[in-house]
Amino acid sequence: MALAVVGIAIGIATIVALGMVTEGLKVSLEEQLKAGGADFVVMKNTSSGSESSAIKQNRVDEIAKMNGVKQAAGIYTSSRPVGETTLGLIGLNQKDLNMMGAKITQGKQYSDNKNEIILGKLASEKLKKKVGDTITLKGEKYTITGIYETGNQEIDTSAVMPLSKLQKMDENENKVHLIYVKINNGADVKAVTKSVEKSYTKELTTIASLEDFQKANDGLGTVEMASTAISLLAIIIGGIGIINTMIMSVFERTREIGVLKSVGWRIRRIMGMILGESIVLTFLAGLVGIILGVIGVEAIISFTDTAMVLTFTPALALKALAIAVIVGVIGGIYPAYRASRLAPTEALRYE
Amino acid sequence: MNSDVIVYEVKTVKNPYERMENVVEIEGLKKSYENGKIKALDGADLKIKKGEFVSIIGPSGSGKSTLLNMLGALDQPDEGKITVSGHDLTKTKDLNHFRSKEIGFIFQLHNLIPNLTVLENVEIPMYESRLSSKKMHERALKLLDYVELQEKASRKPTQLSGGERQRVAIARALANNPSIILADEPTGSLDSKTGQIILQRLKEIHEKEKVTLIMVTHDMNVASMAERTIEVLDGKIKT
Repeated sequence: MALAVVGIAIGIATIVALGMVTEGLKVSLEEQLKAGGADFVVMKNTSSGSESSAIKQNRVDEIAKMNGVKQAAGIYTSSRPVGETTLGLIGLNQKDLNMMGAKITQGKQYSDNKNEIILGKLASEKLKKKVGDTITLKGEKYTITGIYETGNQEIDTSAVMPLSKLQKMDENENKVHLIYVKINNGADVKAVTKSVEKSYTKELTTIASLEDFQKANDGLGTVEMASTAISLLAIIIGGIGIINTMIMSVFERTREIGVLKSVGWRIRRIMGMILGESIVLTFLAGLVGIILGVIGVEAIISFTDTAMVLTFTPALALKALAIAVIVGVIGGIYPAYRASRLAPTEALRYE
Repeated sequence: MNSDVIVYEVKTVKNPYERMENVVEIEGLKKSYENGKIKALDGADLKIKKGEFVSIIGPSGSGKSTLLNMLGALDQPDEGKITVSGHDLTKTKDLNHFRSKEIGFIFQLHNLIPNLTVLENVEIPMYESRLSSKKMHERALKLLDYVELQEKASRKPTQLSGGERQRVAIARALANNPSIILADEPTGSLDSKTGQIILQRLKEIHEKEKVTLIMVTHDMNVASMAERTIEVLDGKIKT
């Protein structure tokens, strides 16, 4: 019995853990999309078959000149080891810092032509660095001019530095990964995104919402698919576990079922009892699984030092419990049917 | 005609149940197991009047328990007719309902459910009645009082003595006011003193509640407490 509960709980824990990662990714992306003043984001159209996610930098200026566009900012993303950790790096021209939605809480912004950098609040805490300190990236020293905060965990555990300096560090000059676009007052986001996509068909795609992102990027879809596949696996494995547990339980209680039949319990009531027990069992396993999942994924993330946003929502808990109960129903039907069909005289003779 | 009346009157003096209706009618009942190799019942005929206390005796394997199971609709005959409390058991579809309404079982090994309390064990048969849980509770307590075990209502069966467990089984058998109590070796696993107390209690219930009591035993002393004894031998009934 306990083993089956553990089995189902582990399945549910996996569903919850993956769900938290997926939800976290969504929330993080949403926050990033809504960050600062950007109305939409331009990224490489990966469906065109291009392996590179980089966009030519001159596209930034071209988009900036398009009708309805107020500002376009090229963003280059990378990462470098700093001490024992890996620091996420965002390359952005100083004039475009407003697009990040970052609030400088200490110090000041960097200058594009100097080896200067600003650290996210969480990164500064983690690296134990303050304004005026330096960090070394690929052998070059960068002075920390400020500390910023966005409220987005992923951005706040990174650092922002001059675009050209980061491109040079990666030997990837004149390339950006994203273009943040801000439109003029009164301009229509849909119209502007359409004209960008029309001008760069197959090359670029625009993302004005999370749905757009999911269409353009398979990554989130892959995580969601994995989550669904694991949910299914959990249902199958958990279901088999429950069937086994309940069959054993029915087997052990053969005589008891014989007594219930002898006192006149109907087939429906006996089936209901076994099915009910199965559902209660899986419901409890579901609760244990939710707790295990939350604790487990938080522990893994903190242990591996990954800057990942984890989001636990009531909907996720409900989904996990619903899956647990479905497993209970599926796993309980056959044993319940078997119990209800037992011949009373044989059941009563059972030792 | 007159002589018929006289004979009739003489019979009623000998047997107080003579004018009562039959609660059990069995004709040519046959039951075999293992593809006919073992003939448990081989053309049994029996009539039992309403309110009678009948003991069924016979050696091991004679078919007495099979007969009791047939009377309680726990088993179905291969051939023959069996009518209990007006129900033709070969034709009755809802045998569970029949058992719930008409039959109270007492087994040799009490068959109480170990993880339920004494009170819950007595309540079990009432789930098929239309009583509210409050009424069920009240009735179960009353029945436990009747068998002098109310103070042990919250205990588990494992915390009771053999005699006490069998008294709980009696209370459970009475739960739905059955018309017939079927007792299969009710004193078989008890010492003789406790067995006598249980038998006395069963006899009291039979007299007070006017319930038909059919008891299977292999002990002649136990059987002698009944008003009528029938013997099952080689699957046939000898009265």
